[in-house]
Amino acid sequence: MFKYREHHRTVPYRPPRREDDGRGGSFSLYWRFVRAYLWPFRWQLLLCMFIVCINGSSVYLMAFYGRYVVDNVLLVPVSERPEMVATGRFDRAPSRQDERLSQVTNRPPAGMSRILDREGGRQLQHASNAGGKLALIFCLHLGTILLINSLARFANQTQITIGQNSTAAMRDDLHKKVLELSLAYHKSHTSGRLLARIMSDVQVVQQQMMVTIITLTQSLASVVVGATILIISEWRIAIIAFLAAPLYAMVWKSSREGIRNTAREARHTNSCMYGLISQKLDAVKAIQAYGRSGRERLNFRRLGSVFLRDVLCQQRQTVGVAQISAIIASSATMSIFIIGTMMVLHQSMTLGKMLFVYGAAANLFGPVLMITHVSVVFNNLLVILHRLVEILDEKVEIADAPDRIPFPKPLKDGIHLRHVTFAYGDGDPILQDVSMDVPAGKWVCVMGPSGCGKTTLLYIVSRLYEQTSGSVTVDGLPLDQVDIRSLRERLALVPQEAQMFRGTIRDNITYGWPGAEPSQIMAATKAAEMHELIMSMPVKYESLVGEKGADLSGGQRQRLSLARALLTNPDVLLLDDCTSALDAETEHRIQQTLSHIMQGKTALVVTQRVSMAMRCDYIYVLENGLITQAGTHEELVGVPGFYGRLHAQQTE
Amino acid sequence: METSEKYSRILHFLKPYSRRILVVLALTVVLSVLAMLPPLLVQAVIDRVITMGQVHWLAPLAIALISVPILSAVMGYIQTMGLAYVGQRFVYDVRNALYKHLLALSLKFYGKHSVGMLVNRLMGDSGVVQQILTAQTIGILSDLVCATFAICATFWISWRLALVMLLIIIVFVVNYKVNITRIRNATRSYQGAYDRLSGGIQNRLNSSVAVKTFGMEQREHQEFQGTLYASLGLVQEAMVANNTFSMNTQLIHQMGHSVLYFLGCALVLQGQLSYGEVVAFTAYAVQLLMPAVRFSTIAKQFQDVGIALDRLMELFQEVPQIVDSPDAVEVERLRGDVTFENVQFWYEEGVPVIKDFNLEVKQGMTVALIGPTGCGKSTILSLVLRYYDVSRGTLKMDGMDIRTISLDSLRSQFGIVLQEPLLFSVSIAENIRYGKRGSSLEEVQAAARVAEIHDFVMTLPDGYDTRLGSEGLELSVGQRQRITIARAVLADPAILIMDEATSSLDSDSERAIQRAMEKVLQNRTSFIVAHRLSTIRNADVIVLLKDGYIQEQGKHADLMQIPDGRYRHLYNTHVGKTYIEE
Repeated sequence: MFKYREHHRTVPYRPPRREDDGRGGSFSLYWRFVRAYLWPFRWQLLLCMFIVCINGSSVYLMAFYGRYVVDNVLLVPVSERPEMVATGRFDRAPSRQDERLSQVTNRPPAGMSRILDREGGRQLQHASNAGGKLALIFCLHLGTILLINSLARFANQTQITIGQNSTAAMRDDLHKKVLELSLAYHKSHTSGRLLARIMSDVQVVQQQMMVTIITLTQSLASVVVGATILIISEWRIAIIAFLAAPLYAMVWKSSREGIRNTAREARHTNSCMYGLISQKLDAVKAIQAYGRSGRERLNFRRLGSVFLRDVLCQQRQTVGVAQISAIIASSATMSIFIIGTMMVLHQSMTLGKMLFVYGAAANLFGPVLMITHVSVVFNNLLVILHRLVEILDEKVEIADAPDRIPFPKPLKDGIHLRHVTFAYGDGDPILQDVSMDVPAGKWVCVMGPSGCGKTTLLYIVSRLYEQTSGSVTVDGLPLDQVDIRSLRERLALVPQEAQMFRGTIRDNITYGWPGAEPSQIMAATKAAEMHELIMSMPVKYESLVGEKGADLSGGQRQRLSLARALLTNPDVLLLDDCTSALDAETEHRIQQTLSHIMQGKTALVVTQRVSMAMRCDYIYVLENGLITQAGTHEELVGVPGFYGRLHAQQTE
Repeated sequence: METSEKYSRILHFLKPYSRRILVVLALTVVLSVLAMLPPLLVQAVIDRVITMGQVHWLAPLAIALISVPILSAVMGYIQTMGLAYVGQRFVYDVRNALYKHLLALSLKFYGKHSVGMLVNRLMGDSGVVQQILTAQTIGILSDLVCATFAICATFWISWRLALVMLLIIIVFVVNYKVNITRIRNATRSYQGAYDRLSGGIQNRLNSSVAVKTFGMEQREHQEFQGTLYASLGLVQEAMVANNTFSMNTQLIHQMGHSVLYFLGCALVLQGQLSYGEVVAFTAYAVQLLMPAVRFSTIAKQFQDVGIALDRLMELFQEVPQIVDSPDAVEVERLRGDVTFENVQFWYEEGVPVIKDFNLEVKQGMTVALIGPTGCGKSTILSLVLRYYDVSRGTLKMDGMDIRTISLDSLRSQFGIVLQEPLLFSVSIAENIRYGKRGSSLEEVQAAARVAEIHDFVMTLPDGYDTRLGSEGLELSVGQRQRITIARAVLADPAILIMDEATSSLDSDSERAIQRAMEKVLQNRTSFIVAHRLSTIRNADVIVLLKDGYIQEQGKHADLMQIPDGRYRHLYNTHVGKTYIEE
């Protein structure tokens, strides 16, 4: 109906919107979620559906009360021979529809009453005992309202309980699954996106599942009952309603796709604006440094005017459709009213019935629209369900084997890698045919340029990643048969980027061992050269650190993370260049302490510093995923190659 | 700033659209009146045509009944679109003005305010102000017209019923007042729980390495479940409060309608009213109830607009500290002579950061600034870039006071290579081109070759079209620095500003950067906050700073001559290393 208008979109920083891939999933997907999360509440849900059916049809009952009042209590007169009205007195022929009306004669029109009263007074005639009947119907009317209202209240409360419980269950499942998934998954899915799945997607799913079930039931009941009533009471008028209601729904339906498209474009432009601003303000230094604010203002202006056009286009479509359908609906109901009036004048219908039919017809439009809307909601819902299922069905790569064996204690032989290759998905290999030995009680060092796969290697040894091919063994046992819990307890990895948890410094240090004694904590922080710094803080170990550890410098965070690992007293320590942000002196002291406390223990150390490598028993050089050199310091130092170059450079 | 002043300032943005606004307002009044007509028409049909049999009224009434909705639909379209246009233009203008203002603000301002917050104000608050200034104002106007009309109509039809109706409205508003506090409190507490919930998830996901290395998945999940089920109760409470309110509202609404209708019918029985009048009366009563609630929320809405407006104005009130003087001159290209004469600088009066700094730099010289953290090295760079103005003394470029040169032309003289390299989330080519717009790909590649990054770029599948940043390729520090060096090479600036990286680069990057630097520094005035010993040794002037003073100054060879010199000591302790540690 309203064509989506393409406009010029070649604006910097406004990349074209990626089309949704159209995977909707199928009804079975929907059913799977209903089974999993709504099935436990099926009886409550059925009850709710029953109640909303009653409520959906209650409108007609209300309208029926009105009809009864008009036709049977007030006996609102209808002039038979219009031109005689001026005399203020006429007889009314018996009506086929309502025998009782025939008993009433000589009634002046109600609307004239005041005029007539003023002219000399004449009492109106109504049904016998009209006051009593009116009171009775009033009581019935109020009673119905109260009943319907309390039923609705109850149904809503039940819906809230069902909805919230199923939301919680969904979140529970998703969160559990996300934590189980391997680090490789976390690397390729940003935390913001996963968070949105767990929080907002689940919220939408719950709401829309309820909408599809409850609203559809209510609207269907309302339409079916309404249509039946219309046909029974006056089929000629029903035809008008039946013609107009689908037309009305079609106007909405036909333009909905266009509107949604424009709305998506507008949202996309909006998020582009957010992106542009945060990026530019982040780099305001560069903009000012290069004197480019004029240019940047122009960019912003351009994107802003695209947004302006998007929003206005969206408005034009929405408002246009709304007004056209308003015209259809009001024309139809008003026609029904006028035709009804003429029928009343021709005595083929009572006034009360006319008003009743008019009300019923007007009430049909809303539910009909709702029903067409449900199909859209359903499609949206499937898209989101698909996203959730992607998480729920993701294979957990790293899980305990059924016949798991605890990590050998003490470690006798060591850790051996044979022909280990690793690649993300189908990408280029990060590690190729890596074989190395980490003998028990020895320190082994891995060096190499950045991006050569050192961190990946450590992740494989700590079983955070699963190698694509090749084998990793611990004292001859395949690593994937080792109980993960015991592996994590005995082996500690200190990552290059220290990760902080919201909480106190103590909480952060005792993360791996919450029950540690203060003396043990202090020993760990002293070894990591962190104790004095902590003691200089106002509340010492109870100082709060933010999520990103904003109040600590990079070096302080690295030391804290080292202390965290040392506290668990691991047998195998994996260090990922974890002193890179420290000054030379502190680094030196930490190296010394480490070599003292880790004496006789096994360590795999990634570093850029030759001074650290010299403390290790054996050195591997990793370049582009391949091991290019291996040997002790003495063996490698004279040989041309990476190690020799680095050594020369750092001791020049 | 006074409230009235704030409003007048923001309303100033609406001024260009005042004629459109007037049209919209006029249309709104007409529309509101039109919306009130159908009940009267229906009454007329029932009373005049049906009851009194004045059939000649039917045709005109029928035409009116059908044409009034059509007329109001058409006018409604014009009104809504006019309103949307004004509102969106308003947002557009406010945002542009604010963005321009923000770009002119000093780095000190950016140090104090997070970018996220600024983005929210720029995008969010301007929208809030727009909505309330346009849509809500129109809503209020239309409500006012409707309410006045409906009250007059109801009193005219039957003052007794109208009094009952007023009673019902009071019950309506009381219900709102009683419930709204409860709802707001419940909502607030569950939003707090939600924030904790999502904060926890985010923290866990961001620290997934730590969670996994310590095998804490289970404990973390239990903690999550704790917050999850705690929030469940709060959410339900809030939703139940909401449900109670809306069901109460519905109940009062329906019962009020019922009471009015049956009272009206009783009056019909007594002959005091006609049935048509009852129908019309109840129709008006319904239209009065909703505005009654909306009126009671107006105070809250104005509170919201007040808050959003405050936040916008707070930004507008920030005065850009560095602005062009009225007689600022445009410079074409500077030679690159820089002179510091008795320069002093402080952020806060009485706490000088730079004290009595004198330095004469001739074209083509390389100045290495060294000294411990906080000695004022970066401040010197900021002064040269005129991120800040000197507090006392003068800073001259080619003999001109820096404050007499227009900002844009001054800043286009510099090439900048910083520790946190300033890259944008666009392609590599675009990033390099930021130095000189409109340069060809060949020029970009030539610059990249000089910066020793070309070979690396060519190994990427998308080459120079590779996108950088959070959604694109993550580069190492060394690679990022070399891209900014390429940018500086392309720009061919008169003066190079550089802050050397301290953190360990791998040896390949290290050498590549060193070679690139040598090429860039040739015949170009350069200020370098230096950490690399080779840079320092090769500099034309070494400035050793301490607490804002120049402690020692001169060439490497000269400084090494000073028997007990600080530099000599520093150099000797670092012999054999690549970097000077701070």
